[in-house]
Amino acid sequence: MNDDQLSRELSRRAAAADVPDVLPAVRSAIDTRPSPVRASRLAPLAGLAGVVAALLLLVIALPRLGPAADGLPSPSGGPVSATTRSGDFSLIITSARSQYEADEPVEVEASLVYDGDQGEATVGGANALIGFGIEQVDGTLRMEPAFDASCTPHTLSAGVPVVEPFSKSGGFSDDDPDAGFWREWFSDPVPTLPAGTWRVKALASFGLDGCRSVRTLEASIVVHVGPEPQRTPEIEAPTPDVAPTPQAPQVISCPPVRDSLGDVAPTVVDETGIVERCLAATPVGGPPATNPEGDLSVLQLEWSGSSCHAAARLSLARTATGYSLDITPTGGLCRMLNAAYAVRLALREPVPAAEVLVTHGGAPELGLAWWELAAHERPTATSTELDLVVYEQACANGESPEGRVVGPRVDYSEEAVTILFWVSPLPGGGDCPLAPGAPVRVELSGPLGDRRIVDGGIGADAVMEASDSLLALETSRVDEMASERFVAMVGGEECTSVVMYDRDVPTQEELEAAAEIPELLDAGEGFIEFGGYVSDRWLSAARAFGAIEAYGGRPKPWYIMMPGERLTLAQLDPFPISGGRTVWFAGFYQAVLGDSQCNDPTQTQPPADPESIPCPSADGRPAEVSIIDHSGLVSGCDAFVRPASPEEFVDVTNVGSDESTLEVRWEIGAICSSMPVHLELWGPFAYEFSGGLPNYALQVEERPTEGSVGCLDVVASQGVRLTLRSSVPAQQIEVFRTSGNRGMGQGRVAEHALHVEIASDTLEFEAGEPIDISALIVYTGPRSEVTLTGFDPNPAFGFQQLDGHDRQGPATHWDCEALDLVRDVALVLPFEKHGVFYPADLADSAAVEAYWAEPELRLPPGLYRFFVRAGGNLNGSCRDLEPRSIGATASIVVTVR
Amino acid sequence: MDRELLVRARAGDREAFELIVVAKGEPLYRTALAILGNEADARDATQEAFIGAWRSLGRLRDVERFDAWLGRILINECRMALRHRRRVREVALSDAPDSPDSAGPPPATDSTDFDDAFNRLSVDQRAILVLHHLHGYGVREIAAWLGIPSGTVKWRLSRARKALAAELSDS
Repeated sequence: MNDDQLSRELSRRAAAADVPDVLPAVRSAIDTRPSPVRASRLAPLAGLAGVVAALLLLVIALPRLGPAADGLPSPSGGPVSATTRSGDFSLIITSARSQYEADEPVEVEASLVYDGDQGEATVGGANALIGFGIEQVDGTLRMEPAFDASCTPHTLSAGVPVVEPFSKSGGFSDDDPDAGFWREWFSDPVPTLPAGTWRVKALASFGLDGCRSVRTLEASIVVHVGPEPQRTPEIEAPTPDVAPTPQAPQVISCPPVRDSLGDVAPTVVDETGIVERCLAATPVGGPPATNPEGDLSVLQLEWSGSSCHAAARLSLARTATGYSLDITPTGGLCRMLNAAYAVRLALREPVPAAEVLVTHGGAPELGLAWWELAAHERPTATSTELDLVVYEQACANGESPEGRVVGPRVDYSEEAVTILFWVSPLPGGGDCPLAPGAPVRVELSGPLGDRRIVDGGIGADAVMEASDSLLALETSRVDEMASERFVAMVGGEECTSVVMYDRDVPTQEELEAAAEIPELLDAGEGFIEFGGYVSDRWLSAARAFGAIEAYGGRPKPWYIMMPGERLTLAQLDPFPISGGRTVWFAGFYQAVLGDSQCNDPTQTQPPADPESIPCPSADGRPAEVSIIDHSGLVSGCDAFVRPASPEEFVDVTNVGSDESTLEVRWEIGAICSSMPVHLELWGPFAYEFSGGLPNYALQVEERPTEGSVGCLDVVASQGVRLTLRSSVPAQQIEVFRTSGNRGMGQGRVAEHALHVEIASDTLEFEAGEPIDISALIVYTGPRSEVTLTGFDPNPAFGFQQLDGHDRQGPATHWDCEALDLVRDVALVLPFEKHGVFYPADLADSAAVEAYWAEPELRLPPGLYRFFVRAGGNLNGSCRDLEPRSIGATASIVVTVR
Repeated sequence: MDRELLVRARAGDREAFELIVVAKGEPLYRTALAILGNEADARDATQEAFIGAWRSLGRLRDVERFDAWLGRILINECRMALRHRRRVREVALSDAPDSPDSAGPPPATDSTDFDDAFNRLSVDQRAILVLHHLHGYGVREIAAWLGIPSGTVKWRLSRARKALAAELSDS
């Protein structure tokens, strides 16, 4: 069908009916709905968040007139609503009434609203974004909503609600004791509920990146069906002038605060007797105590901190001049990221917020701090005092917290010494330029011993090992990575490739060195390589260094660090977290002083023809392992099988310090026989810019035959020892395991395991044909669901040409992304282009543009290794990934003809 | 669209908004009808788009972009209409065997092979074809309507055409 025919058909279709007069229906509808002006007045803040917040304030201020915004039944049986919010999304569930007759359809609907800065958001989810579940409050019936697995894209325009009326969905099995009830209930499409009290829940679950990075919002209300129930005294608001005086402090539970570590509930200890109840609230980043909408009968309390601050105890007491409210954390796990929390207290008598003195843990209005070891500090087992530098977490116009530091509080345990400081904040807060720290000496109660030193201000993850030769953990890690890279460059001169690592704080020396950046760049002493998610902003940034300092409209503070010969630029990214707060994260980008000579990573040259090398078994059994070497690196091969399980699913190491020998091991499921395996080695890859890709690629291809495995159900090691013609550190070799058209990787930490596969229906494609490759990710372990946090993209795809130079390495733009997995449920994702594409000729901008011109992946003839990496931190943090992270990479080799 | 009218409507002037409904009613309905292929659904989507626009007009920062903004609301409503219809049909026909057409709309009055094929496309695919081939919008205008980058428009347009061709060949 050509364009003209298509236009004609669509014109016919569009003219198939007369235009109806929609004005009466629209007029009727808008007569009953708020006008834009009214909405604006309710929303002094920009965006719908303000609207939601304002509505919430309004209904709490007028509890007998408006809908009950806490989701509880309205005392009058009138409207009831509840709102929940996550990031830029709000879910609002409303019911026209909280009281229905038994056979009456319930008038419940839910709205999902996006109110972010972008004009719209495209999310992936079920065909219907919102589902409804019901739970019998006065019984045991419960039905969760059901969604299809369509991963349908939905586009939400900013501020435009997606409204779903209540509908029945869910599932039950025949052996469900309530199967009869559910069968009858589902058979009637009319949305009725049986007599009783029901919690009606709206659930919206969608992915922010296709169907990944799933976000789930849930809001519920309670409705009564049938005869009006007798209300409990707690729901009835007492007359303000008859406030009871309790004999003892009253302890009131607040609704749970959603936290990634689970739901925790703040509690109110009311010594005044004026707190009627504690309600959920959305933090708006205001003062610690406010009267929403000026309503003195409601106090909104806000506080922030790590997750251990969510379960706070809120103690309200009278003072000579008004009230005091102390917010004290009651324990729980701490993470680095700050979050904001809020509750509302419905009061029996008016309390002006200005009369409430808010304190934190008995201390007035203290902000959190973090610290690091002073540059000269080298803790040892005998250390009884530590020199630290304390930094303020809040913005303080770049001022040092010196003179404002409070603390420390030092907690001792067998494993750790935890040191916590606070800082008295500057009045009125301030902007956020980097601020110097304040030197503090901490005296310990005894020698440090082998205990870790933990910064209590940023959580248990901020760990520094105590040992005689320790520098700060991060500095040592930088040096370690740098030495690995330099060792790898046997034939090169002063040469580095990409060094990327993460942390969120600079050292003092780095701060001081920052001023040198312009001079160094102007002098042409180095060059800069950018990695980043390929979007317009990064492409333009890569083309013009100057542009990146203001990308996204935000100023970019930069600093450099120069350990040894390296010059590394650090980019500080503001990192928004819940509650509208921001922390700063650093992405590091490498620059090189002097000329780059990374073109000869080994002293070998690939042979014209690949070499087939025999791998006999040392015990004289028939050889089951073969290797083809395209690199010219391997001179000898010996196969082995060991009863012990290898540490990794597949691994390559040097034998001791001998870099002229490699040992490759992989896991097999039997020890009485090995498994036929074919190895193939490609490289060395002479990259000027490696994109983080290795110098060699080693494929371990399973070729099982019947009867060759499985004689004992015991995990064992099979492997080869390779003798090399030149020294190559094992880190330079990417080893990957395949079986047919599947590539497999496994990561394990304690009882957690992550299985990653990459697969394609075919391993041969025609040139220009879209390459269709998918990844599969499965978590197994003790948790029913797990959230792996890491720097995006996660999972990350890439490829590397084995017989040429084209490649695409995944890069990150250092946003902390969550990968949500359900135990034993495979997450399947198609290959996605992202990262940095390097053509053989790096200056060939046309090739780069052609590559990114379409989302489908098409490649010229060649042999390619495709890979996917997935994983992240198990503890919900993007800081300090190593100790608790789990991840795996899987690769396959594909031929494009 | 008259800017003053839009400003007045945004300020809460109901009469001004009704004039907008009168002026925009036909093109919006024609667009919805072309996308949905069903008179009742197109009418409902048009009505709901106007109602949604009235409810959200206070948050429209740039009245110059009203047309694209209203268009996006309409396409959202078309998505909703199709989903609701799909769900209703699934409930009503829960005992019937699934068929490829079970999720599709009831046939339009002058149903043709083209309609059958077109109705099997996603709403987004239908929308992009309607905007380009019925209204003659260019890539930039479609990008504004759908709120997606121009490059994505080109790609989606190409995919939608391929999908339609495939559906036509199947039928």
